[in-house]
Amino acid sequence: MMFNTSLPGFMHVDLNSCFASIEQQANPSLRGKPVVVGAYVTDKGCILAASREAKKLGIKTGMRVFEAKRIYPRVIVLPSDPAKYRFVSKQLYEVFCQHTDNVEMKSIDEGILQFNPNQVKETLWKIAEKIKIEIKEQAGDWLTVSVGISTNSYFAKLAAGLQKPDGLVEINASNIETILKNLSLESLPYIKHGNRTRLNCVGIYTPLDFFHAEASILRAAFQSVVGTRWHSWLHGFEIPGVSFGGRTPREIDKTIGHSYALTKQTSDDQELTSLLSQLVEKMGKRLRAKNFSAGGIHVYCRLGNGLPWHHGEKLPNRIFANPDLFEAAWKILERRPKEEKVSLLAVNVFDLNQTVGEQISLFESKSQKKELAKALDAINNRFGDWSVFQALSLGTRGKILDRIAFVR
Amino acid sequence: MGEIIDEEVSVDLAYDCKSKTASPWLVKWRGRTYKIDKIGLHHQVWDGKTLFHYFSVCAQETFFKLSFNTVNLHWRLDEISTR
Repeated sequence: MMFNTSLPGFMHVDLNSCFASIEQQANPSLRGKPVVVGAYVTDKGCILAASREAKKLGIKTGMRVFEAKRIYPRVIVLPSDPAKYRFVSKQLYEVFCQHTDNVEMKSIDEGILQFNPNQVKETLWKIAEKIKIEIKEQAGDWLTVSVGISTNSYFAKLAAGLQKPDGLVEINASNIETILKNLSLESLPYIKHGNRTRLNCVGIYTPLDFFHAEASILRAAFQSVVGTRWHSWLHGFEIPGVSFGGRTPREIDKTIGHSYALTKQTSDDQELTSLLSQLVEKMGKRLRAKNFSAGGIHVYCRLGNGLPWHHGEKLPNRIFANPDLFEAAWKILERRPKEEKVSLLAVNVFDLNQTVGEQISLFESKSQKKELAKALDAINNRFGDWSVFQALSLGTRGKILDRIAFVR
Repeated sequence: MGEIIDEEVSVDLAYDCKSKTASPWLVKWRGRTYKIDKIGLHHQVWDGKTLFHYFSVCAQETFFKLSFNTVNLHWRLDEISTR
């Protein structure tokens, strides 16, 4: 199969060093300095984003704050401010929508724009240059994006990752082999250890081997239709309805949960009750906002000895209201090894279903409970979070921070 | 990292009808007046039905994060840091 020779119709735009760049945009005195945004600013906090200056020093996303400080003791560590990042993400989306109505945000800092190449008046390259300028004008002059253009979303994503920061790369039939020649298998999107091993098993060791492989070889490597899809993707073709990275609705809402890393470890039941209650409040609100009920609940603790303890169970009845969620979670948490302190507490619900057509209980009015939960959510939506909450959460209100979920 | 202040503050806001932009240009806090040189970021957040405008601004060596409550029209100084 030849590489797709049609005009490119996909553009992948990725905001460079997203959270850190936005912080530098907000506070100009941070510009040009190594800055990291941490889930927590304490030494064990995980780094969510590093500025380009910090990256140059070798500081990476996923490191702990103390590791970054070991590399550069004067690194500036900031707490995350999700509201700010969501606002900028919305502005990016608005810029994208000025150019096409086919925009899909893959995460808070990246989006895919799809064009009909025969209908656009100018080349995608020109549009990308305009988008870069508009982002600076409308979102912030410090913000840069890397843009990739190609005939499918896979190569548009690869192209966006080739030149950082502020890149603009097009992958097409004339340069595909040159580009792939300089890459390793694991530098391709969605090829990590597992897929690399699969490919190695059929004699594929480089992206060029991958590119030239017959569809039958790829089917053998992936042992499914996925191999045939890879063959199409690698030749620049998009498969309608099957997207890379974009999660299917089923995947998006498999679980909903929250976690909290305690600044001071504790085994005190009262404190843990309060924290669990607050985690449940946040989780429950998201659950109900999507009109879901949960069929199972899972509690995770990292204990003081560093070991994890967790337990999950299916519930006899589907639940959605905070008191029920709390009761189910607490029953599990009570079984933890009490002699150990807890340093991290997480709760999530699984087996999620839309709460339509559910079974009516003979003994309890679910509809009343649902109306009460809805009314409480409406009060919090109107007057702000934590306007009404379970008394159990008293004392820890506001401790559990707002977070932006990572997505593939 | 900045220092959390969370205090009421006096702010002068200028509106330019040509560019249709509104921006704070003067902050009066703890007896001192700061002239704003640069607005780094202006973002908005809903807290319930209340819309807050946040301005991340610089006055020479000082960074301020200001918030404007669009219901009671009060300004607060949320955060401050110096270079």
